[in-house]
Amino acid sequence: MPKVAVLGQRDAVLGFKASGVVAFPADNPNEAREHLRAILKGDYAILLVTEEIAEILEKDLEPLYDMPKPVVTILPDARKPRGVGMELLRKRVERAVGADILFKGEE
Amino acid sequence: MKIRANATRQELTRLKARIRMAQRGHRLLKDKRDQLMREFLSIVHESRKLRQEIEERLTAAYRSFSLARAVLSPSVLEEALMVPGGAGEISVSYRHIMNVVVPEMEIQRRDDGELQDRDGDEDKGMLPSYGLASTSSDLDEAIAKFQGILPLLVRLSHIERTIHLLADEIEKTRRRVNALEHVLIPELEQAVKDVEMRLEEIERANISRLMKIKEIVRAH
Repeated sequence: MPKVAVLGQRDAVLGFKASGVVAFPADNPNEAREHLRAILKGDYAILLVTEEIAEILEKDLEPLYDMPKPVVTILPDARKPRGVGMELLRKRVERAVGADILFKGEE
Repeated sequence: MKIRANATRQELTRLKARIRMAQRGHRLLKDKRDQLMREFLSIVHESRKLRQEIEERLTAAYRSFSLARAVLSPSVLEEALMVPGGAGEISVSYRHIMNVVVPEMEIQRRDDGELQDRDGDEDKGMLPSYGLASTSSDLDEAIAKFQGILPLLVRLSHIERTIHLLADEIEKTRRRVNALEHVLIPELEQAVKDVEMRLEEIERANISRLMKIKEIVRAH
């Protein structure tokens, strides 16, 4: 049975551990990249990534969006949510519809 | 690019058949695009709401967690969270939206907690996987919050993946529709016109030739 993995700073991922999510604490980019490789080898259906790591690993995560597994989802940051996940959503909508229908008139 | 066609009646019929085919395809693809768009929009709004809710709840969970961390010593906390908790296995199934295969995921709860069978409430059925003696209630609270968010996150994950897949498909379909509408169909129509004009020209040439011959024959 596939599981859920969470990749991020130590204090951001520990809380998930007790819910049965496999936590990969990463405190620097290299560590995060190594963890990502391990995650891709394992059987995970969902990969939760914190905003900060998602920005650092942007290039590495890019090809994963077209793969069946794992599904990458961006978590808001523990301290200051920057809306990286929302931004990704907005980009996809814009590409599909050809216009930004989701957030227009709000900014 | 211009479509080259011989000026024959057979070619003309063939071109007209191609136009009909292209128009039928165009209509179908347009319907597909519209339907995909409808699905897409409803799901986008849902995902947006879900993400907002998750962001709020997650911030609260992080706050509880840092509270718990402040009270407990790092080693105790590390130890308490050493053993992974109960749930966390995901079952994946697939659904088709307009021929796009999208995943649906759900958390599979393990059946080893007897509590959840007794009261039937899944959320309350989780037994903590750490000792209660050395940890504070703040930790319980924080972890309960994280557990409450997990199903939402799973839902968000498959919704966002669906959005991604649908966005790809919509883009592809839109390109096809546009290619048919603005390139192929006009070109075919132009080709039909050309062939028709050439056929008429041949016809006229033929008639005038006949008239000329008749004149010559009559003069004798």
